[in-house]
Amino acid sequence: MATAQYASIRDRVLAAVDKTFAETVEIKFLDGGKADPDRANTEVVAPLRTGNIAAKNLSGGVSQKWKAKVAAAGGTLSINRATYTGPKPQKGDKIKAIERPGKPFFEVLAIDDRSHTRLVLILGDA
Amino acid sequence: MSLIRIAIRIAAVQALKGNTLVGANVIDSAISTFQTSNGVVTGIEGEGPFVAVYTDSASTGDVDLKSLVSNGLTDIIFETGMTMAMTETEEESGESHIIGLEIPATDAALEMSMDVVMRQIGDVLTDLNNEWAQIYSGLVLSYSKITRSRVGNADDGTKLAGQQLKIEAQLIDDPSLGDAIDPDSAFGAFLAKAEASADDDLIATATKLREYVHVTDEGWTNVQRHFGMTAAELLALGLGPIVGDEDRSTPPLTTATAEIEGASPVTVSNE
Repeated sequence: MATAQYASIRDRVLAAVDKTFAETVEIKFLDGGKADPDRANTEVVAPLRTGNIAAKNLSGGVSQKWKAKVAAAGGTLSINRATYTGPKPQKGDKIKAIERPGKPFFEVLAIDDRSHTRLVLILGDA
Repeated sequence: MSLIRIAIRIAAVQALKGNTLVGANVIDSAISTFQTSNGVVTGIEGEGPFVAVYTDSASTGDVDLKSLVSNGLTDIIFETGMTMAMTETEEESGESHIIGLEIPATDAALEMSMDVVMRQIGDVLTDLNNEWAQIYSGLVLSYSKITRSRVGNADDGTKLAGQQLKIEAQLIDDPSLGDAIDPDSAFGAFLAKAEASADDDLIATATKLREYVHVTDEGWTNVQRHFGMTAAELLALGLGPIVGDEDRSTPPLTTATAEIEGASPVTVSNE
């Protein structure tokens, strides 16, 4: 793979950000809801950002058809591609935030793997 | 809006509790949000999958004069929902499964669990041996429309599946103020069942409902209230107090005797 000219600066920036904002999380690799035999669970140190919890009705919008509401926040995990060596995460995998109170689980809802800086996992509460 | 709406929600909730996949997590008119658990759900109580029961819009086109006690067609809404955070997750592997189904919490499994809960709701509400369900059924005259809908989304911070059952039901009328509550009526059976329960809140609710209906000035005043008539209207129908009775102390008319020339008097009684 050709190396872009900004690669060294990029890597220094990401390392500096991670040094301040990253936390250790466990990635639980799943396939069809069960542990994936082909990908061993791993730990990664990366910034985990969770949003403000928001209450929405079941349809997600303001539709008056639905009465019950659930509260959820989700979040993102931004893994530094330069340092990550584990198996590639997939939709449906779980993230366990082991450094947070209650060690909450998140589910990977989507992955943005086009950025050259970070592998961004879009997370939902799980 | 009405006492029967209160009764029907309570009866439905009591009937469903413990009889579906969501266990005891059946909520009457959930207005607050269902919190997704911040960690691992280990049981079905609390912030697990839920059923919420609502009574919503109602309308009636069949009104007795100016009576305001008919309930008419009322939307009874059952909503059930489950998010990924409402599944049971194993700490080590991260595998989640749906409580009660013991299958991995995939998209298909979430959807299936919702279908199962909806099916169970139908079965419970028509269960011959469920006393609360029988009371619920007694409060309804008939269903005129049943609408089912679903949602599934992953946009709002968690993966969520939900289903809604909306029943447009013809409810029985509320008892009028002052009416004696027949213990054999559906509402009477509801009050008796609630008062006999072990739940203090339910007993207090039933006591309160009885108080609302109970007034002491029985007689023709009930008729006037039931139909929302003015005193003049009641009088014009021949049901009110005699003319000039300012304090309305005329007792209800129970017997009348018509004297007919050349024949024996005819006595009519409404006893």
